[in-house]
Amino acid sequence: MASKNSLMSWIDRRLPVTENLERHLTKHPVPSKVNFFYLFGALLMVVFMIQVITGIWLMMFYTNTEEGAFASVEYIMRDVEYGWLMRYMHSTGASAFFFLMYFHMFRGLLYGSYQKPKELVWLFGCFLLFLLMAEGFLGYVLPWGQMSYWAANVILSLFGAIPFIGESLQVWIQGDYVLSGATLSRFFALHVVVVPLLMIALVVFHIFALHEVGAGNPEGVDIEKYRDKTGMPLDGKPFHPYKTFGALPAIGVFFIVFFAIVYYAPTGGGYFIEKPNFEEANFLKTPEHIAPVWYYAPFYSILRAVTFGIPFLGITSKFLGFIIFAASIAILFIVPWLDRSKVQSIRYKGIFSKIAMIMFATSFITLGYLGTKPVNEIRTLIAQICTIFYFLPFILMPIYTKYEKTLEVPDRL
Amino acid sequence: MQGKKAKHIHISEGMSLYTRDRSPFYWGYINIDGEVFKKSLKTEDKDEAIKLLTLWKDEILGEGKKVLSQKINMPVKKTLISNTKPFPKEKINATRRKALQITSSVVGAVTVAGFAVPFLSAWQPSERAKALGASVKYDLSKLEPGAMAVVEWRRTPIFIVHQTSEAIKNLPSLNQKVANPALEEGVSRTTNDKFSVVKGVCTHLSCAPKYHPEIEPKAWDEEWKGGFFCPCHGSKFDLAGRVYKNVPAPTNLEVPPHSFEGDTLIIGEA
Amino acid sequence: MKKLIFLAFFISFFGYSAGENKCGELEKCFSFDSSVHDRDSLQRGLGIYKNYCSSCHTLRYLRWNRLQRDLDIPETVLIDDLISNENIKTSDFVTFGLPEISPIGAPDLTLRTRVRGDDWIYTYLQTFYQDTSQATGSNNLVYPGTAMAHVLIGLQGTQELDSNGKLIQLSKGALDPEEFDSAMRDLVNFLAYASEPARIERERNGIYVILFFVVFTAVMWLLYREYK
Repeated sequence: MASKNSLMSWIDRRLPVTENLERHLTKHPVPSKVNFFYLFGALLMVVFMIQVITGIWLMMFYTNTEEGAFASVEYIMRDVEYGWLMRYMHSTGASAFFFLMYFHMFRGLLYGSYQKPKELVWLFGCFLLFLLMAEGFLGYVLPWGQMSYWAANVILSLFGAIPFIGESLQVWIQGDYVLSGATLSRFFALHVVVVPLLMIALVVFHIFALHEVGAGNPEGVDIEKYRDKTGMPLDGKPFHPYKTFGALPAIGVFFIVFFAIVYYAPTGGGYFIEKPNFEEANFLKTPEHIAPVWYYAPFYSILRAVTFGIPFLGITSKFLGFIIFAASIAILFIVPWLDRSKVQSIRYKGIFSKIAMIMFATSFITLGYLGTKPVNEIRTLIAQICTIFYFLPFILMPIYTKYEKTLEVPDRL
Repeated sequence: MQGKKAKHIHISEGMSLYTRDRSPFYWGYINIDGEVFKKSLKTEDKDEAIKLLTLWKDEILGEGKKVLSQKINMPVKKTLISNTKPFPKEKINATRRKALQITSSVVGAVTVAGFAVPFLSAWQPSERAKALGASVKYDLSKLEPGAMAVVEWRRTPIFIVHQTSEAIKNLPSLNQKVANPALEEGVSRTTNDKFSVVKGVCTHLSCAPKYHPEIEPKAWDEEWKGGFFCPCHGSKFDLAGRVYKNVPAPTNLEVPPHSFEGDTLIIGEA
Repeated sequence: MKKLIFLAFFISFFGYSAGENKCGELEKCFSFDSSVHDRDSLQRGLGIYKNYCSSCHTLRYLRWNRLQRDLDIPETVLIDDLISNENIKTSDFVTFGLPEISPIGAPDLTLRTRVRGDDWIYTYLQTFYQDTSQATGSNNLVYPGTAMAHVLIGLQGTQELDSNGKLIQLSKGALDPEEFDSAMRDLVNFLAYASEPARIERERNGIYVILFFVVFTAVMWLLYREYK
């Protein structure tokens, strides 16, 4: 770990800079052959940075009170130089964050990135998904448009549906008898400070946990088994510069798409910034159709699909919906223990795992589509079926992964 | 074996080729003392496959050192690798590499600069700030001689004094009494002899000086010819805002940017 | 295969816009895509707005000086014809001296095209028809029971509903149907501009930003290849 440069040795004696640069970058082995799915982690970090920086700048011009919030957003869009660009980067960044997150997690499901010993990496990641969902919700309330107000009302009333404590809990969260400026101001503090700090901490743990164990690959091969004389895995390469430089063109492609949206379709066709949100919140006027932003649509669909309760247990349909909606996120946390397969990657798993993944992906996408539409009988029925198909792959996982016929995994990449 | 169409070709003891329905290539199978190794040989040519298989067996026997047990799911403690030399499959073209490193650094720097521009520009005064800080107009025809009007511009009180002819006559006589006569600014310190325009902010500690145009003896000056007196610490200024000698304030009252358009005074840049 | 799914999922976003093309109570809006790059159209739209809309509707997030700059309005026209009130500065908001909360419930229109959509406003303005059962004497196909009168009756003339619920012209206005349609396009273009003045700059500069990142990707790809 000795550095030739005397400045670096002075620093290294006091702070392990070179050692950590080597441990995490220049001497950290990663699988030599991965596919484009493995770029999403880096892209997620880039988007996180974009959100933080644009968020800080927006904070300089935003007013977090009920009276001033909506007008302050228009102030940003019109009076602040490049304010419109910052606003659109932040709103597009939020959608990009979820888009990348869903594909990043899907990669995890496909290639068994959660399997031992990477369970903690997966758990930190699931927690990050949960925090991201909270962050997006809190952020969407801040412009105080019609959809900000009414969608927040819907979600807060879910808390109100909890038996016994529900009503007081809802009032406690709101800070008022109804959703008001008191709620807005505290959501601002949560969105700007609390959740981002938690997310930063979790990202650090997520990456440290990953580096401790080593990244996976699409074949599910353990590259640590075979090393050369120097200790370097035969199927591995140092992370920097072989893979870090690979992130750069990916970032370029990402920015092409990102800025194409920011400059030519910033409201995402009404999916990224919903139309009613260009009207100031009016608690006397409910929008025709309260829909969440696209990235919550699958879960909202599951929530709405639960049209029945359990009367003899005193559970209303609303509360049961809340439970199942929470379960749809919670079930992701326990996947490492549901998967009993000897094999890591979908490439070598049996036919049942493949069907399960297709079932999960299609129901997720269908639920997402349905979540943006108003309800009717047919849609509710399809949503209910899709909810079952969403949970089935997980509920049956311990069985089919243990008993299905898998292919033999190669030793080397 | 796996796959429905796998073909198993025995080469020698513990060494075989096989095909799999997932891959167009030949795969190698090596069994050394009960330990099994399998990998793709990445070739569709059987003879080449056999050659590669033999090379591979030597590699395993010679170089490869299995560090840990065979179970894939055993927790692995990572060790750092000591060698970080690149693995050139082709010869490294040093000049091309250097050129690309430089080009990409330049492109990277331009990207960072490009990102910085909107964020740095956003700190410029917004339209709202510019609206609030815009120039202020004042109609001078309403101001009597000897009277002073106070107008707010950029949150500062601006004193507009309509000088009487007596005042204009008296001002040069004070040239010795003031610290900085500012003769190059003209008698009224504006382009219009009849009006003086100064910021109503004492240059000592920013109190608001009081207007005393009367020409009579005052507690702070026996020979007072009219001007401003700051009650906070006793600084004295003449009717054109020039500071007297031996008072706490160091400099004359500041003249804000202004212009005259007929009967209208515009304070601030036009 | 996975790449195709990824791409399909991604592209399907943009062909599809949230909400059907249902136009209020009408089955389908007349389709209209606003453009903010034809300055003459925006100026004509502003003129129509000033003459027909400004007595009830404010544009209270838009400043006069921004309007002047973007539409290239001469100073005298701005102050004499448009503002025509010496107490209003050019840095003030376009409220036409109206109170913040309209006593007759006429909403502020600055963001209206973003709330309703260009199509909706364009269709709404053209589907007023004579209806003596309403207090205003007219009704609207897109927004039945609207409290807004048929303000543009002078330009469009009167229409009525026939037995099939289709609109037919009753009496002629100052403009013939094509001219009226063109005027409505101008007006909606102007309203679209008002709801997002930055759109002019945004749509103009986007291509350069995207091209830059194409170059960025190309250079970084070459660098990556060195280390494969």
